[in-house]
Amino acid sequence: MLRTDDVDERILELLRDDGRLSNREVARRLEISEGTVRQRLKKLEDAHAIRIGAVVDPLPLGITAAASVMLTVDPSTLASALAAFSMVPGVVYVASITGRFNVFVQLTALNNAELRAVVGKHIARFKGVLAVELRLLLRSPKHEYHVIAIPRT
Amino acid sequence: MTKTPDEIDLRIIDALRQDGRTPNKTIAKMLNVSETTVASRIRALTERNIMQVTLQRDIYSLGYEFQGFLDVYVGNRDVDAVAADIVPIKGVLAVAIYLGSPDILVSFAACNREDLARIVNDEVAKVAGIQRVDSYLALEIRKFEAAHVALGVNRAAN
Repeated sequence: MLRTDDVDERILELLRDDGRLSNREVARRLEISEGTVRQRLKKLEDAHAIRIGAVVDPLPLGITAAASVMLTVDPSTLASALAAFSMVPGVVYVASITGRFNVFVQLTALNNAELRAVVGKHIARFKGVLAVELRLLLRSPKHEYHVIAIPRT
Repeated sequence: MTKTPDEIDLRIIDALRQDGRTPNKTIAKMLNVSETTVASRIRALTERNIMQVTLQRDIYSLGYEFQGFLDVYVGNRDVDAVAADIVPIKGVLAVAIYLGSPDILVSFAACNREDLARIVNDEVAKVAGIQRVDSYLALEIRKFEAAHVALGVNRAAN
C-alpha cells in the first residue's frame, strides 16, 4: 500500500474528473505551487500507483462483444499461458484464480464471431489448456474503471 | 455531427490512451492538424461520452489485499433487479450480466479477510433472489485494464 496525504488526494480527485487539466490549472485550483503538483504526480507515477489515460465507450468504436473465458490450464504451462493470454488482442484481464478453473480471462471484440475466433485461435489452443468455458457478457450495469492494475515494467 | 468517430478522432484517442496528458500541441503535430482542431475534437468526444481522459489507480497501491469474482445464480427474481441490488455494495468494482448461466458476474476488491467476508457472505449472498454464489480469488493478476467502459451508464454511477 502506498500512503497518500490530503494534498495528493485533492490533486488526484481533480484529475479523476478531468485528466486533461494542466499542472498549472490543478495548482491554481488548489492554491499550491505547480512544482508541488508536478512532484506529487511524479512520485505516484514512479511508484506505479496512478496512470492518466483515455477510457473509451466500446460501442461507438464498433466493439460490441465481451466475454469471460474460464480455463483449466496444466500447472506446468500456467506461467507461459498467463503471459501469452495477456498479449492477445482485445484481452483486458488475465489472472490465475482459485476454484474449479485456474485461469480467468476477459476480452472484448468487434462481434461474437471475432470473439470466438480470437478465443479459438489464441487461447483455447494454447499448450496445456485442458478445458475452456466461454461466457458471453450482455451488459454491464456497473464498471468502476478507476481501479486497475498498473504494470510494473 | 456524425455519431461515428472518424480517423482523426481515433488517432487522438490512441494518443490519449498511451498518455492522457499528451499536450494538444504534440498531438496536433503528430496528426498534422491544428491545435484548435485537437482541442475541439477532445471536447466533442468527451461531451458525447465516447471518451474520458481520467486518472486510474493501482489496486495494490490502494491497499486492497484481495481481488476476486462471484458467479451469481439467480432464482425467482429478475436478473437486472438482483444486479441493481449488488451495484451499491462497497468493494464491488463491476457487475455484468451473462448470457445464460451463471446469470451475473461480480468483480470485487477487499482490503482484508473481514472485508472479504463482508462482501461475499454478509452483503452479496443476502441479496433477495440469489440461489447460489460461487466465489474465486485472483492469485496472480497478469493484466487488469479498464479501457472499454459504457461511459454514459458508468460516469453517473461512479
